Amino acid sequence: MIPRYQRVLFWLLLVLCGVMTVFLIYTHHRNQETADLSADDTPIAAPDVGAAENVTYVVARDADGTLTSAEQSIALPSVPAVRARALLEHLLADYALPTSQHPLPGGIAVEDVFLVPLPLTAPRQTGNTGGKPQLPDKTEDADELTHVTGELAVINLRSSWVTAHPSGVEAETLTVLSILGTLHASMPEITHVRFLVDGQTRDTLAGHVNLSRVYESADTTSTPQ
Amino acid sequence: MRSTNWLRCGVPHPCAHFAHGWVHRAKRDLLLLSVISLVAPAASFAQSVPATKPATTPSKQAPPAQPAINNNIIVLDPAHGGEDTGAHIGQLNEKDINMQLATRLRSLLQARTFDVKLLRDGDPTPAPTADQRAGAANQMHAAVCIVLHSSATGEGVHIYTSALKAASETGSSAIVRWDRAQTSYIQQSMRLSDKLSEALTRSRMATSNGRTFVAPLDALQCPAILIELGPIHGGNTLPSDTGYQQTVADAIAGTLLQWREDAKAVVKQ
Repeated sequence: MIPRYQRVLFWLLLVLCGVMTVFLIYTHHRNQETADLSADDTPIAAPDVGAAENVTYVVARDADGTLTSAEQSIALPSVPAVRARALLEHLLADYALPTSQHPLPGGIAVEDVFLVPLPLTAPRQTGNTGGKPQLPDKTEDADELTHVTGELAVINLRSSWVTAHPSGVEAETLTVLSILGTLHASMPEITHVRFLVDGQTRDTLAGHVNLSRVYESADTTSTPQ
Repeated sequence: MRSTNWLRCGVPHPCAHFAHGWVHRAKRDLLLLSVISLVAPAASFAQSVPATKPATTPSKQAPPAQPAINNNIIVLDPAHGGEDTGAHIGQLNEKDINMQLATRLRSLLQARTFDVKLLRDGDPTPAPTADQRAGAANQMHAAVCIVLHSSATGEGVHIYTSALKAASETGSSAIVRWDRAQTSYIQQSMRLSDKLSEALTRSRMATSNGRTFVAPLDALQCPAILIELGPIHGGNTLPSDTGYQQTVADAIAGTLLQWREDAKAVVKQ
């Protein structure tokens, strides 16, 4: 015959086991959620007093190599250069999410964006305040940027982000086209884009796509083949 | 136009080179003097006359004549090489996978009586630069130039042509810029890209077509496409898979055979 106090102890331990099992499952789920959140490298949005507005992103998809338009409502600064930087930061941060169709490294990608009015002109000569700046003739060898209108966006990327970018013709092409398409859709005054990495020109993005040339900002959306 | 003879290795005897150099310099000096004596009076006259509108604007000049191409020559460029390993795909480097595919494709094309030129044979260090590759390819007057890449991202075969505008869109010019040499061949390149895409689709291969900004495509003076092998079957089959490479190489060889037959038919007409 089992004494009463042993039976009570047995049931007490059994209930304790049940409670501990439930607690274990709960903490496991909580840890998993925390891990998912830490994989999200989206920069914390700075407090913004501006109203949210609809902007068009050109979103890349690796599986079929397409670029599609997607609208999002975000608050952007009004100063054009800061606005362009914030726009690109949002776009590239979305690619760092675990659900991204075009996975890119997280962290801050764009160091600065500078906007330069076009056409590029030579500096005025000192002592000749009335004279017009000298432009080269439109010949075959003349720089294209001395004869076009609009704005040139110089995007200075961080080398840490560029180094971690996946290497491949498709991956790199889609990244560049996504940036060009998004700038064209949201800031049409930007007609040309040039890339720098830590303030220096760089031959390729990750071994393939040419990063040393001047790109035309254009509608880069495509449809599946 | 820059050109490089890096593929050829003719090294003359040093003495012969010295004697030849002396004679060559003497001839060059004589020629230079005679040219100066002819040009100097003309130049001084031209300076005294005010500049007038040129007789022909660059856009109205005759387009550059395309060099005669040899329908049997195919140029294959296995991208990267040497210290430039390209992407890391599984346990292999991209440069090695590109070379495997190029070797496989060369055998298939040679069996179809093509004369195949590889821009990188083996793994030389340093590997030829993009400009050196373009220079070598342009000297061969090939029917088609194919740049081979592979990648660990995306799905299926990615076919690209240069993102330059076609010559018909930009206006023809007598001067061919090195970095825009492909403009005269864009339409042919896109046609070839479409044909290859159809062939790969018939082989039940996922494909995507596009235009890109990768060297040396823009500097090539031939119908040129870039082929990048990505993983297939949801990433389970990598570009290093021999069966996958064989299927793609078969499709490319078949397309090029058809391309040559079409070119011959046009010449007959």
